[in-house]
This record gives sequence, structure tokens and C-alpha cells, in this order.
Amino acid sequence: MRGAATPSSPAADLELAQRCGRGDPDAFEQLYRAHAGRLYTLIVRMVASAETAEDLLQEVFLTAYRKVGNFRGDSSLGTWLYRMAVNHCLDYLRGRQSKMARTTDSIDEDGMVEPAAVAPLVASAISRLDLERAIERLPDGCRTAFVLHDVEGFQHHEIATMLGISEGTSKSQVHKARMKLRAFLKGAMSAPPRALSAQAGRV
Amino acid sequence: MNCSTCQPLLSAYVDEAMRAEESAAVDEHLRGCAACRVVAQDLASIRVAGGSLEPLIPPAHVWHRIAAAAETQTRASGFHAGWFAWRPLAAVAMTAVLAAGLWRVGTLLQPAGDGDSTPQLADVVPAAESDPEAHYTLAIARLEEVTTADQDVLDQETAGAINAGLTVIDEAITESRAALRTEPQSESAQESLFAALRRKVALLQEMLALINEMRKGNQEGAARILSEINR
Repeated sequence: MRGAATPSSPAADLELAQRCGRGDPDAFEQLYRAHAGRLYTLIVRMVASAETAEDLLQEVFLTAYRKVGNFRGDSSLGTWLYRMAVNHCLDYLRGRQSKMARTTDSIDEDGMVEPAAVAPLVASAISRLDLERAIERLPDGCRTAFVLHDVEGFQHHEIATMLGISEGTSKSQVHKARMKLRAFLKGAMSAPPRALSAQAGRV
Repeated sequence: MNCSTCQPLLSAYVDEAMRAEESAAVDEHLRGCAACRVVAQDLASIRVAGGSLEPLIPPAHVWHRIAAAAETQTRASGFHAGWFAWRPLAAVAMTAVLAAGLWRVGTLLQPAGDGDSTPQLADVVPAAESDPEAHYTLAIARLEEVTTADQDVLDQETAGAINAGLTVIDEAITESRAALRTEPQSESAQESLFAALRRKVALLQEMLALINEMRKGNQEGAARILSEINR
């Protein structure tokens, strides 16, 4: 499971958590350096915005800073933080969805056309940038399922638990996401290349 | 099986997550249908490409924001008062530079009262618009020259706190430069670098102002600046 933590011993995790809980600034920085990259990567793709991801990453670490004293080592620190990050993303997406009437999703759905290009996609020929951009264009529901399944490597039953949906819904959302990505990518291949500026934030 | 019943099954098919008889039925349809074969290949390629996306790196400034916010949180809760004691320096410096505008470097370099002895920054520093990095770097060099020479008028604790703040900013500068080397086109790395350089200019300005007040023997003015730095 690629979404799992970078290996660290339970004893080391507990010690680091306790030092953070006591207010040791070096320990807090160590916690950040060890986990920020993985969490940021997840969050950027879940919420489809590097800018929002910075805010959410800050929220996650500040929440962790408040609560890390209660960490008992039932899971690894990495998993504990990861769960927190997923939940922050879902809260954010729910809030955003309730704010804007769901217009984009339906437009996307109906406006979908069968890709013109006949040649099959080759994984190694799909540009990283095109794929990242295509993922950003996905509706929230199928984007989160796709990111967790295909990018982060979780199983459908794990995603079902994380997102509070059925396993069948997780499967159909991942399929929907792949079909949309296919249309986007095949469209992208025949469209002129866009400016690199959209990559800002991807360091 | 026809195309419209086959296609919804293709993700499970490429994930090898279906029962053998279902999978055999899909196989049979694919043998006779080039269009669905392409869809299946596309879905498999997308899955592989998704799984090989590279990790992203948060911009350097995010940590500085988090450290400053953690400090505020700590103070608000009343625990660990000495936490991150030097870190707010960077935050204060940034606020100061945003509020005051960057281009006051030249005027601030001129000590109040006896401006003759200090060179004007505007004379030696390239315009910010044409080459921001060179502008900041030279501004920093000039400021460092003056502050290093006169640092001993500051008491050890104050000098130590300011130098610790400078060290943090230097780390951010190094980090941003490293990020820029990896991805020279990255606007966010560029922004982080400029932000860090601006913070350094601002903090050195505060330090210089403080040195000036101390030399003039203006304890009141020094205390005011110091409390601003420490706030």
C-alpha cells in the first residue's frame, strides 16, 4: 500500500510524538520534514490546487501539533497524519461543493465526446504534466477515488472506508475517472501545447 | 456481450479484479472488437501512468508559515512560552517589509542625523524591476557590511536572537535555490526565493536601525525597535 507511511519504528514515532507534545521545536520540524512531502503530494491532487494544498497542509500540521501529545502509537505517525490529511481534504471538498451548486459535473458528463484519436495511449508516453492537469479537471468525487486508488495505491475497500462510500461506488468512480482522463488526454494530444505556467507550485 | 455492456467492466478487467467467467466473457468480446481493445489499453495505461506520478515538494515558505503559526498557537494557549522564540523574527520582518515597501532600503541605510558617511544604496544596487535577485543580493551585501562592523554595540542576547533569525532565513534561501536548480521554471520556487531574500533585507534593516539607535544612545528608540522585532 503506497499510501502507507515511510517506514519508521513505533518506538521512534512515539518518542518524536512525545517530544513534539512537550513543545520541542526541533522535534516539530523533524515531524514536518519527514511527512510534509507525502502529505502535500496527496493534498494537491485531492483538492486540485497547489495554493489550497498549502493552506490545508498548514491546517494538518497545526492540528497535529495540538493533538500529537495524545498519540499513543496505535498506528504509525505517518498513517496518523495521512488520515488527518485525507479528512481535511474531504472536509474542504464538502464545504466547497455545498457552496457552489454542482454545475460543472453535469456539464462535463453530457459534454463528453468519444475521443477522436484511434491509437491507444501508452503509459510511458503520457506526459506527467498533461496527466496532472487532467486529474485537476475531474469532478471531486471521482478525482478523490482515482487519486487514492491509482496514484496512492489503496484498495477499494480501504477507499470505501475512508470516503464513507460503498466499495461498488469506489469502483465505479475510479472507472468514471479513468474514462474522463482518457478523453482529456486524447484531447490533449491533438491540442496545441499549453503554457508551462499552469505548473506553478509543482516544485 | 456488446460494447455498451463491456465498457463499464473494463476497469475491473484491467485491474484483474473480476471473476474468471466474467473475465473470459470480456476476453471473448475484445477478441472481436478493436474499439473496446483500445479502451482497455487506454485504461491500463492511465492506471500505470497514475501510479508512476512523482511526488511533489511543498514550497519552502510553507514551513516558515507553519512554524510561525505554531508559535502563535503556543502563546495563545499559554504553554511553552519560549517556543520558537526566534522564529517570529522572520514573520515580523516579512510583515514589516510588506507594510513599508521594499524600496526604502536606500533611505534606511542612511543613519538618522549623519547620513554623509553611509553610501546610498540606490547608487550601487541594480533596479529591482530589471533583476530582482541581484537587487536583493546586493542590498543584503551592503547591509551585512554595515551591520557586521557595528554588531558589537548590541548586547549578546539581542545579537544572538537576530542572528538565529538570519540563519533560518538563510536556510530558506538555500532551500529555494536548490529547488530552482531542480526546476528552473518553477514560479513558486522563484517566489519563495524572493520572499526569503526580502525577509533577510527587512531583518537586516531592523538590525541596522537598532544599531543606529544604540550608537546615538537613544535607549528609548532602541527599546521601541527591539520590542517591534520581538513582538
